[in-house]
Amino acid sequence: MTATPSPTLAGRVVAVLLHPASAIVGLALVVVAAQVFGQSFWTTLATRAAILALAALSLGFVLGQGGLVSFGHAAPFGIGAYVVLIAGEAGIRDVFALVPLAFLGAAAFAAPTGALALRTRGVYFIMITLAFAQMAYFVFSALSAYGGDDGMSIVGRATVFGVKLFRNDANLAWLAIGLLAAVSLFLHGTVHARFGHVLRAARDNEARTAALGFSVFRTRLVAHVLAAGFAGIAGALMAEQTGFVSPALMNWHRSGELIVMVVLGGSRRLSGAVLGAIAVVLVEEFLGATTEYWKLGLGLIILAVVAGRVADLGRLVGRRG
Amino acid sequence: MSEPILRLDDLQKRYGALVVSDHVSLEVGAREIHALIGPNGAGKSTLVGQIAGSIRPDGGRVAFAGRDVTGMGVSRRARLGLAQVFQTSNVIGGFTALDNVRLAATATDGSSFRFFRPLAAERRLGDRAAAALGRVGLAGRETVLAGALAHGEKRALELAMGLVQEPRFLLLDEPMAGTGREETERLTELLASLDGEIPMLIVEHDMATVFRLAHRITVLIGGAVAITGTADEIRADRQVRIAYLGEEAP
Amino acid sequence: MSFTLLLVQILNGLQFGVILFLVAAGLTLVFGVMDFVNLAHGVQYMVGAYLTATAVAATGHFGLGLLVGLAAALVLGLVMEMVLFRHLTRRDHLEQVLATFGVILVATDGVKMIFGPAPIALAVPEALSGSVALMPGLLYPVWRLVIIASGLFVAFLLWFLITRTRIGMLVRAGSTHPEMVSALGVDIDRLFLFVFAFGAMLAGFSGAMAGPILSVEPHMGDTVLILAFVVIVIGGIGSVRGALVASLIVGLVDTLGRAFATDLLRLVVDRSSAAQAGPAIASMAIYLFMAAVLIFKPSGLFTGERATWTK
Repeated sequence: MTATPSPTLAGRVVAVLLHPASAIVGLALVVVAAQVFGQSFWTTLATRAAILALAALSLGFVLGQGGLVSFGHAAPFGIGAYVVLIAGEAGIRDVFALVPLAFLGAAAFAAPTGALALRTRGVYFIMITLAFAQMAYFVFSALSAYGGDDGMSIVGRATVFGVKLFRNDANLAWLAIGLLAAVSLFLHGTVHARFGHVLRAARDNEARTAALGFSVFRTRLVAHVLAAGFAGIAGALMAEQTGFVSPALMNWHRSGELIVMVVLGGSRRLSGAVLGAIAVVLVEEFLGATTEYWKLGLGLIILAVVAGRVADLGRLVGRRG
Repeated sequence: MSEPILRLDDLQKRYGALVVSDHVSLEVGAREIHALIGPNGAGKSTLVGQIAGSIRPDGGRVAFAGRDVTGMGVSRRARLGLAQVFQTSNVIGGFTALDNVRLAATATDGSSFRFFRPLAAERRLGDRAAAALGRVGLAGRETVLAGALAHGEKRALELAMGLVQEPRFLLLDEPMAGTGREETERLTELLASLDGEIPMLIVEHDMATVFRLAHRITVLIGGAVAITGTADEIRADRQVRIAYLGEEAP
Repeated sequence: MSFTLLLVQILNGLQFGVILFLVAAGLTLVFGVMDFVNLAHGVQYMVGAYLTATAVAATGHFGLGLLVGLAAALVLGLVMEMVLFRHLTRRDHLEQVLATFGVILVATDGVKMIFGPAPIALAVPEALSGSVALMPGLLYPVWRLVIIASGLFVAFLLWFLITRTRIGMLVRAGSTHPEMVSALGVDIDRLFLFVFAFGAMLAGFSGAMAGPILSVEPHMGDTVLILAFVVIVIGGIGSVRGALVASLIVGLVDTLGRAFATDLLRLVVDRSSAAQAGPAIASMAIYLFMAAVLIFKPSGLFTGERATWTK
């Protein structure tokens, strides 16, 4: 957050490209272009990228700013999707109800499980967040009323005051990009406000932060719950896009992939998660088009990144975050 | 003497068979600078932990500012006005000097759960932080990352973080450890300038500092209070000379 | 529910617990001794099953195949440690998570490429494929009893290794005072290599034993890995004894929960709600148990003074 702009032209170009707004504006431009040239494939891809970017951004907030390696972020994501399914079955389809409900549903899961996980540190925290996420996975797998293992189609896309606005893929893309922008803006503010400072201080020096009078536990819990809520919104959007909800949405591999997105993009910057998500979506799409074993490719990329100790796209181009 | 700011009442702590706090009772007056000395292994750090709230005593009570705080954790005691300067430099290395002090100021100024207003835009906090940095002689070093400060500067920064909270009490655990002679003298004068303003408990090995600052001194030996008294009384005490200053009995 | 059914489910629970123990024992040592987050331990379990299945198919003999499979799993563990994990032991947890997750992706898809995504066959050896009558009306598969027996044997072996041998003493010392052990002239890297490879072999053994009753497929390690985490959280990191007790608890609670939750629930709610909620509650049981442990003993049941087998 304290990066000083590089004086060179190349440095400035890179700084603009890495700015959080650039990636979001880029996604928006892709949607515009796709509409103009009638390439619906690109609209779908940009929507998917925006949704996963939102999920990764929320994880990047707790992981990067808070230093909490949560390996269970797929759970709130999936819960958000199930909120859309369940609310739809109950007749609630308005987007102004679904988005807050998805946030609250995911947050309601994250509050008690997070409070337990935050009693521990390090390796324990990683294992416990993973375990609770797996619990959510199995619980939804067992809910036969909502499709059990197989999952279920949602009744239809969200409405706005009864208007079926999101039947149009482009409108859904705008919703996803808009929400991504709104959450980015909120988290950007939070990072620079009091809360963000306390969260980072606790990451760097927990004992000192407590001795200054801050409740490290409560700060982390609020960050954890906020992040889960935003992931829930992302999950709701995913349900809207695919029209289908199943426990596979909260498979623990997704938690791992979200971590990969955050770290590949650079965890110290909020924008890193957005860039990382876009990169992984592109790898998935284009590697996936050539081979069904695209995850092997992703795995090799991850290993190469770790091996080269360059877990930061920013550093690759000579800028420090 | 008015109501003491800190009162330890019969504190006991043991680790296995090792008794580290042996029925320790101690008072720090409302305007007092109190020094705690003792040989290595006397249980000073454990006592500091029990005062700060990071270590729970096995028995006894800790009263701070007229309240029983025995069951409270570190952060709650800090919010009651107990500021700490740690033994080893303990600053947020990734924050600038100014941000460290600003963060400290935040803790005693309303809620830390604010999500929108940039901290940098909170002018009043910035002004207070800058003033505190000036008071400890760090004016001009505001934008340096705390991790990059020299050792003595970090100690001064820690003091600024304590002062900006306008604490009711300062707990200093070997503030002079690792600082040079000149730096020690400067920090000692700075603490002396707070005499009468903020009561302190200072754990220190540097006897010149202790004798310069302390109104009263408590000597801890083997986990127990050997004696509490003025500098002259301590100098004259035979038990202290034997156990602490290492002199043989005549 | 009849008494024999209950007994069968208890035996199934023990057998499942033993499988978990074989995976968790190595993992908890790796966590405890090296402070290393190894997500790829489930891969060792999966690869162990594949290696054994391949070796059994090639040799036509289960015992021989198992030996070859175990040797191969051990070698794989050694190679993984030397090529990759050794360089990560002193890095932060995030990098360990990332790297071992990368290994999972590569290994899972690699196995899919070689063997295909469908389960492959690993048959129980002829002599052990039948059932025995444990009591009148209770026929139980021999192989499952073999799994229970071999798991308990491994537990005994580990207890002996850790408490009665020089290498066990070094492992115990290495987990608490690594610098002192190095100062004594012991190569700590070699010690970690041994612990890691041995844990990998145990996981492979577990996969090979479970292979005939579960299916040998690329994702078989995933579920076991996460349950092993639950076991370690309950038992306490680094404690093999904790892993043993917690594995059996988790195996029993999970198996009995799934078998009887719906029936039990029917005692208090109507049939259809019980059918709905039963499976969901059963699947939460072990996690709720873990949560209870976290509330009352955040560092696990067998840490501190009560953890006798290391840590």
